[in-house]
Amino acid sequence: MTVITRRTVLAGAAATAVGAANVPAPARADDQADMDAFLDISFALTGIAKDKLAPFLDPVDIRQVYFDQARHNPKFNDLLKIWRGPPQATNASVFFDQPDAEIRYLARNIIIAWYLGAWCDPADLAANPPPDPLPYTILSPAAYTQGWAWRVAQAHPMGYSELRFGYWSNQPFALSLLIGGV
Amino acid sequence: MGEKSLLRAGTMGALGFVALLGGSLSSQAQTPSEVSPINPPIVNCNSNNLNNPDSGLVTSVVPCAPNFVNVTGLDSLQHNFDFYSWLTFVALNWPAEGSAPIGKGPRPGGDARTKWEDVTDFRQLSDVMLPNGQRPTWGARVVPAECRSKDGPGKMVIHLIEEAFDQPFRSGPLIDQNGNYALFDILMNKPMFDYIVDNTLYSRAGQRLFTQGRFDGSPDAPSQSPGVPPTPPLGIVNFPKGSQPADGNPGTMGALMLKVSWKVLSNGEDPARFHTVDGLVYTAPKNGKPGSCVEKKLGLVGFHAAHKTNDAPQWIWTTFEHVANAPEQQDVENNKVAGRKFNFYDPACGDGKCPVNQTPPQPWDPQVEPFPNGYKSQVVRIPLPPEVSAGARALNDRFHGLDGVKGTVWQNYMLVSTQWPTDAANKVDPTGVPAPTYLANTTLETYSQGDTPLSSSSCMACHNNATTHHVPAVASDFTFTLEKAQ
Amino acid sequence: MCADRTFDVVIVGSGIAGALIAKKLGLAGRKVLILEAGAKMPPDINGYMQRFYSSNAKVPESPYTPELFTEGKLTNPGTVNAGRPTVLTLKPHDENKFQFGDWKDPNQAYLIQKDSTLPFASTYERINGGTVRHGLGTSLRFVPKDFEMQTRYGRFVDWPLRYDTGPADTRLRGWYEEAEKEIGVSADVKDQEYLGITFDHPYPMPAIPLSLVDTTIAAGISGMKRDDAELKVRSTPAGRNSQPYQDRRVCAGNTNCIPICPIQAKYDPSVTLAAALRTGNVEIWYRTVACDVVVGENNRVSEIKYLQYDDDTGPRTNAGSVSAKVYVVAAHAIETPRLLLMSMDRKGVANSTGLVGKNLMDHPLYLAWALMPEGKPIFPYRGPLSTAGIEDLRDGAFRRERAAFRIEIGNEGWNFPIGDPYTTTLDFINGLNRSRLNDGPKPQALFGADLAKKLNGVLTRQFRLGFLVEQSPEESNRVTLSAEFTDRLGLARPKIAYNLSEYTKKGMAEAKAVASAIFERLGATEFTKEKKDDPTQFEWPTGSGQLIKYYGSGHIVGTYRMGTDKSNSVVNADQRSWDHDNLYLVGSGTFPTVATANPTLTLAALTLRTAEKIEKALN
Repeated sequence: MTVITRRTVLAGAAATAVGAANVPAPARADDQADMDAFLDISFALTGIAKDKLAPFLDPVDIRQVYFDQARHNPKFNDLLKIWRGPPQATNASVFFDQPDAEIRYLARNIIIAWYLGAWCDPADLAANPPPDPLPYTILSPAAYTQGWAWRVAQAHPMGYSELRFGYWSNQPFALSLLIGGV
Repeated sequence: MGEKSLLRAGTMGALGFVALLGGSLSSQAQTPSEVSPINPPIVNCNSNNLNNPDSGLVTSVVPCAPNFVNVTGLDSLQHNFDFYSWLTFVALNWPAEGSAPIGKGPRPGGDARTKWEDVTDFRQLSDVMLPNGQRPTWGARVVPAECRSKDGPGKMVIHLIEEAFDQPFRSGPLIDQNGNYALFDILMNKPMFDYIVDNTLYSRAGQRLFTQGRFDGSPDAPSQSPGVPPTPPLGIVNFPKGSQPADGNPGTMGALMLKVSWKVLSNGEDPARFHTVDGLVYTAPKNGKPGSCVEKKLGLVGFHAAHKTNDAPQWIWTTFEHVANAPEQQDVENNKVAGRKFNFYDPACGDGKCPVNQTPPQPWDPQVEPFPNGYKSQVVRIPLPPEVSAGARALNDRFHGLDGVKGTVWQNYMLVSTQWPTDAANKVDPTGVPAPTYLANTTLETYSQGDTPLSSSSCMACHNNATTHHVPAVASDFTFTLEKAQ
Repeated sequence: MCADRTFDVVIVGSGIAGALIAKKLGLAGRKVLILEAGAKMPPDINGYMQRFYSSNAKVPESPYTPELFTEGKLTNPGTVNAGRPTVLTLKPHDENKFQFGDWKDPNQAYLIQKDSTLPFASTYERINGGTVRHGLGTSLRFVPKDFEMQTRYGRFVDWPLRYDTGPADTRLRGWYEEAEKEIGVSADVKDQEYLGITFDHPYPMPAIPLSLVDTTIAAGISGMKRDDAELKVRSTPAGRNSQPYQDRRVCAGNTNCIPICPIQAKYDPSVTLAAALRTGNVEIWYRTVACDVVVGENNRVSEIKYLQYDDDTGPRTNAGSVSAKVYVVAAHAIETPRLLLMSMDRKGVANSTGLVGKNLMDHPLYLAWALMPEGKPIFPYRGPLSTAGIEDLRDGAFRRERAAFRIEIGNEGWNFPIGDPYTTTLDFINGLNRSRLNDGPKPQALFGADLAKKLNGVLTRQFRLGFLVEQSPEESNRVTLSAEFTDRLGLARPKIAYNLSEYTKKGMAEAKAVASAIFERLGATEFTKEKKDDPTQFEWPTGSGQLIKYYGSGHIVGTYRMGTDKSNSVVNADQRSWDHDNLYLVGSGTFPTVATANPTLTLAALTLRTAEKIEKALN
């Protein structure tokens, strides 16, 4: 089924994104396949169900922000190639079991984007040891509010709760309800 | 892949609106009937959909819920909701009396008193949440003593409470080009009213009774014992839902509430450009000051409708504006506003003299008009995502061309957009993930336009936090009306 | 220079104290002018929220102007017209690319602390609404004995006021009630009647419900005693709506009270400022920095001079002065002494005792964090930042020897101590171990379901406790004027001398012991750990090599204390200057001791009392 996405004001406003500032708007047909692959890769990397990362009806469309951020990286096409094979990968270990370190760091950055709405400078990830604390850039206010680390903690981003008065006295939602089957 | 075009059928169930997409629906659970003593059956719900010819679209029948066709994704669903919004707007603004259809009424521009202004159809908030928590009655017009000498046929009393001149959470008033305060009013339909009365939600004491079992409501109620989970509430506010006929059940209207904004029409302003009402603006006595009633000719500038349906238990949020309220931000930036006339923007006021979207200087006192020092609000519309505004524009063009709208006052009104839950059955997000994410009316949410999470206007995100007045707070099903109980 | 305009009252500062006085006097029909050094109240908080969401370092200052960063580096305070400190200068100095973290560098740190023994670690705002904008909302009353440290424990001084004893005019209890109504405090009296605190009336709103963190800790410490006191988890009174109040929404548990509530369910002084403006009798001049309190005939203040600017780092645009019948300085406890000391060509004003600027206090905060055992999640990152605490150790005979403290239970996991979930998440993605949760022979680098499960397993078990320790008043802890460094307006920046006394350090040490005892009782593993080269820590016991780290609580107190006598204090119990009849100094700077309660409610109570005194004086 064709996934229909939509650039929203939010996705377009990732002005603080490291390196994503001048990414041109995608030509739809070509990039759809890449977006699909990116989502499969994202599920494999994050462990969050694909329909949670990118619901079919997706007004927030944060996938576009992360996709644009990722493909700005010179190793993005290589990442896709590895995934597509042949053989088609089913597990993200393909990124970590191969020798190109920059691909590993790109894969990690993709996880960082989904989990934290942030992006790290690949040079920092590659440093030995990486700086302490590890610097990151929040991609946008929307990205911050979509971070999965908080939902994995069965909570919500600090500063952005969709729940109502008194919820904190009750047990949180089950993890599987939040991130899909785990 | 199966048929792309789908007629409305069945409940959304766990799949939400996604169930409408793509192939034929697998067998679905029976749609439960929403009929109840306060939500009577409706056999002829408005069955129009986007594919219907123009000739039948302008009717007096308020849709029980949207009808969906050609659903392929977000934009097409948005279009269906926007279409439903226009049908709703036309039907609610149908003349309250007489046989003339909309646009053919006796007032300038074919205007007429509308159904929603009639006490047999809608009741104003001030006549629901009464002093001392008295029980309200439906259908009786209430005219305060100070207004009686000025009263007459077709006039509408508007209570000048805080919410009538100050936007939500005291975010500020809106001042027109003549220095007058814009006025706001809230109304509800009968199913919503009946729910409130039947469940004693019209008073603080009644709200306490309703939710008894969770907290006893007194300020000294003991706090929870450590380790003991809280008791679930006995009363959960759950307004009746609109529904289309399905599976042999009739349709229902469900709860529908309105918020409208008016501006005072000055002499010389063309009444044919506005739906007008002869308002009696009533200020209750306070702190020793006597009450007062002032007649004002009012023109409609903004119109919110929120309708709870079985598909959208988070309600569907429709908003219309007068076409000349404020310029688009890009028009201002591209110098396309010179010479145009707006209700809340002066193109001739440049360079920092009229800061944009700023609240007026304090104090805010609606008894002092015109606003001191010649102040007027300078409002600019912050844009919605281009697909969203393009979709609304297409429908505005379509309906503006229809008989009953074209060439009448109603051609001066445009849909801004409709906010609806993309995932109504979402178990972890009570807002149901609204689309579009943000939505504001320049006359009703003037100062919170934008796209900043939580602080920028989003109907559902904000109303999600609505509660009853007391007890401590119990969620009030997306309406702030209950917190006004006395 | 002639005075430009005349008012009944001129107030320096639009924080909670200034706003409350303006509101009360405005309602009484007085003409009030507020001079606010910082930016204007915006029509909505979109700008603040944008800044906050986009910040990497979500410190209390982060939503507010002036901008913390300029071109990737900390803004040089010398270039800013109304600068303010930031906790970002308090990092252990290191050579990494961020290049900040030097509390002694005047090009980063607004407060000049070159010669200070220890860093003063708290910050404040200079903006509409002031510092309480970024406060937690905690609204605790003092316990009665807090006002009598000298009488009860032979320590420090007594206050010239009491909780509910002594002459009626000196009792604060009724004023606490007034303050609770103004702010909108949620609590239940039954939980709050401890250590001698009594009540006359219920709170305006019922208590905010407890979190799972609170109830888990409560169950775990049931029956626990310390110093003959039984420890109980108690709901914390807070300026946070549990019902619609003042036309504001109820709390939705955004877990963001510090630095900003996205829906303004937490009280912030913009509410009071708006109410003050609404009277029609109050004006506020923003970006207006008071620079000289001028004393004229009869030792009365004759005018206040000010400087104005348009842009935070732009040139001065105007200078002027205003006159009034009564003057109030409400610029918080560092800027107020700064203004007083720089006045009259640095001869100083209201300072015949030489006490202005002295006795600077904070609540040095001892932070301890732990992990619940596996299988026993506590579910943090939910609800307000803090909904309960342990208050039973706020008073006792031990106060003869060492500082008391209150215990704040945090609902935000390890966000405060280590910036989680960022640190732990980055650890498990990148195979690092900064959180110390990724220990083992080699830190794991995970992905997919393994990563999700691992993070869920650890993040849900995190919690922290904060101990607000009563710092002793010491004259050597003080604010003076820097001889060398100025802000962009050319005004001398505050110079700080700061240290922690033995009395205070012993309190911190006891806090550390209690933290560990609580964790042990809960079966939790403690993770509290100091960092090498961290400037905000001290060795304890002396010579042991063990370190105790402290944070600032954001509670700045004591620098123009109140007292019974013009020889031992700067202001009297009405917060009126002994030296100048028509000058009042309000805010937490008047506290002779800091006790253990967050200062906001007490300062609000004192302010409302002073407002009544001023109104009487104007008659």
